[in-house]
Amino acid sequence: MSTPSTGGNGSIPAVRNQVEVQVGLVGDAQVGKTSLMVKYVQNIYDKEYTQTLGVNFLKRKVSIRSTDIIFSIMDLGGQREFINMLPIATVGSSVIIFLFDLTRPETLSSIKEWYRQAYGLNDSAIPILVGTKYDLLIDLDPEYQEQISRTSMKYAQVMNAPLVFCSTAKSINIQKIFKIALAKIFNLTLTIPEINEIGDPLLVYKHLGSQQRRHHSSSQDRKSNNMRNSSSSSSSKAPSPGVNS
Amino acid sequence: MKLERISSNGSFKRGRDIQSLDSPCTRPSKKISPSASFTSLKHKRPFKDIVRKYKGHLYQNDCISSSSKVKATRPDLSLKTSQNFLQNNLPTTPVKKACNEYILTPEATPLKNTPIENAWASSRIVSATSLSIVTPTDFKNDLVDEFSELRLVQPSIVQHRPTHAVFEIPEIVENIIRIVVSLESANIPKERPCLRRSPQSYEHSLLMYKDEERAKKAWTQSQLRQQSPLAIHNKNKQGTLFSCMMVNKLWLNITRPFLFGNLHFKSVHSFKNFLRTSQETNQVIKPSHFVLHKLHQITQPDIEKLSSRVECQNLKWLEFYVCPRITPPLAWFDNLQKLEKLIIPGNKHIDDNFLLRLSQNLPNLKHLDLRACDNVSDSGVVCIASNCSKLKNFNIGRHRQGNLITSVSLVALGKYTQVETVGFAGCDIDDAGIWEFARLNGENVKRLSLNSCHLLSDYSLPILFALNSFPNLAVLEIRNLDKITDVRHFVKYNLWKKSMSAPILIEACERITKLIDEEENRIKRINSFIALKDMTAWANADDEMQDKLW
Repeated sequence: MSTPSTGGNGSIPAVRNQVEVQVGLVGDAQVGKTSLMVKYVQNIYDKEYTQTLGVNFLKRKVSIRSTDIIFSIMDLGGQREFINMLPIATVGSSVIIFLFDLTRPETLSSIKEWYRQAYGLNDSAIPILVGTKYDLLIDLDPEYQEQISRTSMKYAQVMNAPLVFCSTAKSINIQKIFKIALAKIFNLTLTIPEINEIGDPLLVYKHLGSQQRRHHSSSQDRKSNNMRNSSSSSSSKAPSPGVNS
Repeated sequence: MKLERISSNGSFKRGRDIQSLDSPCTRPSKKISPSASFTSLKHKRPFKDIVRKYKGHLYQNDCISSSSKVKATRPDLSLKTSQNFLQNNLPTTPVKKACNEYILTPEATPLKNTPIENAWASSRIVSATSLSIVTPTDFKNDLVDEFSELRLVQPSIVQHRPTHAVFEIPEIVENIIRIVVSLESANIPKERPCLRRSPQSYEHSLLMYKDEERAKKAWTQSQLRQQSPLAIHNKNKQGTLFSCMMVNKLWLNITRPFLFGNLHFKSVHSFKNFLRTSQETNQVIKPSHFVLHKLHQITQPDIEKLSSRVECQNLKWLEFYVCPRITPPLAWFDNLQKLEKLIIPGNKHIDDNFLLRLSQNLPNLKHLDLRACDNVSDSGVVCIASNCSKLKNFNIGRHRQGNLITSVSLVALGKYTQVETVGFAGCDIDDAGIWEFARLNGENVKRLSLNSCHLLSDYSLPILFALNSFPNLAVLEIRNLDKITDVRHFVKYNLWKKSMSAPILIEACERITKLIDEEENRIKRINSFIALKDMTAWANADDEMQDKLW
């Protein structure tokens, strides 16, 4: 194409791929949903508690070589009065992150109710179970640590959700949550090592949150993608009504 | 009273209920009549003066035949139109605004006011023919008189019933007419606007719409159109303006200039009628629009007859859409300075000489449609291009004699004008011509139709697109270009435009559409593969590094 220049603006630039992923954050009040979102999007951690009224929304664009990944994060206030806004955070989301406070076991048990409600609104989204404030957990009784770790692992298995312990204050596993989210949506092969030792910040994802039940995914820019992920081919458990009881 | 009962309350009984519930304000429109006429009562004198003045207007010399017709049909029509106006136009005209300033406050004495108000409401429906002004006391008497003979009847109009004074104020009537005109302007006969070209086959339709249901619909529609191409045009309703002319003399005088400003005909009958009446009167008409739509039988002598009656100083839009036997009369040529739109497709009489003469006097021409004017050749187009520098839309698409139009025309257009919409379907333009055109005028082009330009090959359009030579293009028509096989750049270009949310519409034939689809899928597949690879790399990368980068 050795041609003289024309009246136009030169040749066509390459088009970047765009992938938009909507993530919903739900869980009890003061477990750290807004903190996680702000930390991930703006890398800011504020110790002061600010109650979320309704739904907060932030976007983060990650530009990698050929592709822009846009995480749209919807953060629902944890108070019961905002439950009627749950559809905003769940409907249309490809991933729903269920957060609980590792230092408060009651926040883990209310995950049952959150999961039941969210699953009722959107049964195709991938759930991820996230325990927050890991930095406070390590100062607690080892017996309690083991107990909460085992219980949360059971929850994760029943929900078929990857399990991550994180700390916003100390920046532990924050990025990984969203990487796992992306990997589960697009069935990418993840080689990040799992962390299974009790007392460590758990990171369990390989056998959880598999593709099996999500035939009609709600992800908007879903790529037609035939790559198979061998590690996630068998799911440990389908979501059972046991969670609801 | 009878009328009111039937029309505004639905039944006699209901009307009474409303009275006893003492809620006179349930229908805010009722307030319009008393207040408006109260103001008119105050200004009784001046209004009459205005009316008189207006009646002595120069439009007075109307044609005899039409006014006698008016008289014959007056009663029925007047009811119809006045009702029409109450429903359609009252809320939008300034009348209402004026009323709101003089609210009569019926709230103060609701029970007492109600019957009067009802009477006023009924006066709105009464014919607009009689001109005397109403007073409330008259209505009280009427009420008593007519109450006894209340029964279900056809609402018949009594001549002495006075019209509402509002409809005697020329300024207000003019406003009403103006609105009717703006509504009517949608009815000017014109080609069916086409969002997408009709598909060439069902498979093509499927490729175009990518949805079985829509594809089927589009295909059957295009089939129907071929069978009865006229069916769609006949749906238009017309004649509200004509009804306005029938109301009374004032209305006639006000409506007439509007009607003559916009001349459009789509039946031979009405055009011949118009010819006859214009012969009878000596009035000279200066229209701004003159549209003849598919009048196959009209011949040149008919038009020549008109040429002395019609002057073109104000003419902006001249259209002879598929009127094969007529051309604009020579007498008009000197006065077409204001002409912006000249649409004469399907005309065998138009040739290069015609265009040569015409082009000398068209400094403001923006829109020229010469489709299927088979006798026009390059020299005619060059005349137009070099004399009409404001030209924006130009179409010379044709099925026959494509060899008469070559790249010379295209390059002339590119050189002398900033044309935006270009139609050269079926012409013998070649690669070199389109290269030159893109160089000269590529930036301005928004719509480009090159269907069946059989000389075009892979050496022009695909490369021009790769170089973004038409940066503002929105529609590209490339049907039946047999030599085009390379569509990669069309697809890349369109994907790029899509990413900026300004996709272009490419109308292609089945073969090219298929090629484009395949190419698009291939590119998308590659892109998603690359995207997945990159995302995997990102997801597996060390986040400590990324955290620091943050």
